[in-house]
Amino acid sequence: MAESSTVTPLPITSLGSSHRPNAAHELQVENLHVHHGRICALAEVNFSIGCGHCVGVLGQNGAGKSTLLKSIAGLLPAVKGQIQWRGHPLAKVRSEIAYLPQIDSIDPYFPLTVEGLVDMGRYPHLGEHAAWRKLDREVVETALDTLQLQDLRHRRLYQLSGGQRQRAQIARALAQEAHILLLDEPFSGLDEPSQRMLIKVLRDLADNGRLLLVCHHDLKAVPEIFDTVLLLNRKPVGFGPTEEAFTPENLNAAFERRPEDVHV
Amino acid sequence: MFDFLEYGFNQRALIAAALIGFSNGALGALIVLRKNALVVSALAHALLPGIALGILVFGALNPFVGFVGALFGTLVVGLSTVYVSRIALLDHQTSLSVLYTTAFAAGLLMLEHIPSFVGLEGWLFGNILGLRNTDLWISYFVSMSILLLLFHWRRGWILYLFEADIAASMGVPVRRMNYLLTLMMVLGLVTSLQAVGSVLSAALFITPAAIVLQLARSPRTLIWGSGFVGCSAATCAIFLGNWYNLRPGAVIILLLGLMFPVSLGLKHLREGLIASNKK
Repeated sequence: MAESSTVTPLPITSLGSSHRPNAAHELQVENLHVHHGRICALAEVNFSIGCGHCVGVLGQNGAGKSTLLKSIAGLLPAVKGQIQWRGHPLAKVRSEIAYLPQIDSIDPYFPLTVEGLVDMGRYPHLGEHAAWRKLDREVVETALDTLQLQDLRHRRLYQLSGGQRQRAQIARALAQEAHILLLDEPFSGLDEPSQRMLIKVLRDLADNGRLLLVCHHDLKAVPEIFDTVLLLNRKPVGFGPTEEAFTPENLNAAFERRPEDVHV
Repeated sequence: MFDFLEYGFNQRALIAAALIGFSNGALGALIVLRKNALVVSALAHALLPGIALGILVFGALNPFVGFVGALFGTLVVGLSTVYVSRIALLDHQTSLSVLYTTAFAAGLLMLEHIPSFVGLEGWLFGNILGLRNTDLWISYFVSMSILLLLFHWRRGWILYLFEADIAASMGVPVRRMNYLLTLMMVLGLVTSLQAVGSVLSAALFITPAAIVLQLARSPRTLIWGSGFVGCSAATCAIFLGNWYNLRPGAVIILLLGLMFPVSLGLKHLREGLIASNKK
């Protein structure tokens, strides 16, 4: 299936002024270590980044990209180190972080429409029983508008293309009013027009003050998508603005043979 | 026509059928969304070793021994499955298969040491007309607990079933729910045993959800719709069973099985209508 609306620009003004880049909005990762069972999956991760950036987390399979995202999302406990957002430990600001898993991990036959999926984003604000307020409806409508999903809102997930599903996921994150979006391989399986549309969506979100951390393994379009890159090979081997850190030396370090498993 | 309802055992059967039909149908929606349909069938096998152990420990098979034994057997197998699949990095179905077949084999060996097993048939094939007041109270408390737990996390369950990582990142207590869903499944199974028996108990969970899934567009419709379908089929079966002198447990399952192709037909009819509207 091809994207129906590939080139129309997104109405980014609807995102509101509360998400303008702000110096105090800073994600700080300090000396993070994460283990999978007895294997050290990620070590000595240190970086800090403000909102308004689209960060490419690059590396080969098993480099720790997904592990880093899951750890920031609070899904994997850190054995050492800490992650802070706006000076608070992550657990306290959970609703400000949205985790978007690989699209394959979502069952398209789950009985859910696009609107139902986006509604789910209100969970951190409403909890189990609170009634929907006018504000909640408006936030969902804005999210649907922003990702141009109004025409698809009553479709079931299996009736969407890969790119549309990815947009529905992002709309869910916007409905959550998340500042930080963690996207695991959002480009995998998308055709060329859908990829281009998604790049535009991600750029617009960053320009409007969100912070995006995106796992990515294809190096072709990196400078076009990401203003900042973090290269991983079980530990960081490069971090900084794309034009400075996306260098042949750093890429060599990231894509050379994976370090031996360190058992702990 | 409704004379049979003057008898206490028929009244109890009707109430139990409605309660179990509703709560197990609604719970079944969760099990189907978790893709655990066969897990329930497998778990039902853990009853036999549980009951056999009960007979060995208490010396006789009475309803109390049956209930406690069945509960113990399924609980041990069910909860250790969740734990084993987590620590052994195995999928749920593999660890369950290992555990329930082992337990079943142990149960068979135990039965050899029991001289006669009168009443075991009721547990295997169900005997809803033989319910006593205590059995009814047990069904009532189990059904209410299941429904309360469903309602308590009414949005959380849906997130958890949709994608556990997303749910956990939003603060849904995913690990606790893993155990809890297994616990609810075990409780539901044990109460449905007396109604339809262990062999057919899985159908009370799975078939209503499979029927409603053809038509539901939201998880909430699926959950409560499955409860409604399970409840109606179970109560209808008590009437049919009395009028035509049939075993009610089997009638419940057969009714559900017949409703499934009907809902499949409705689904295709609706899709045809939508398609022709678009033209």
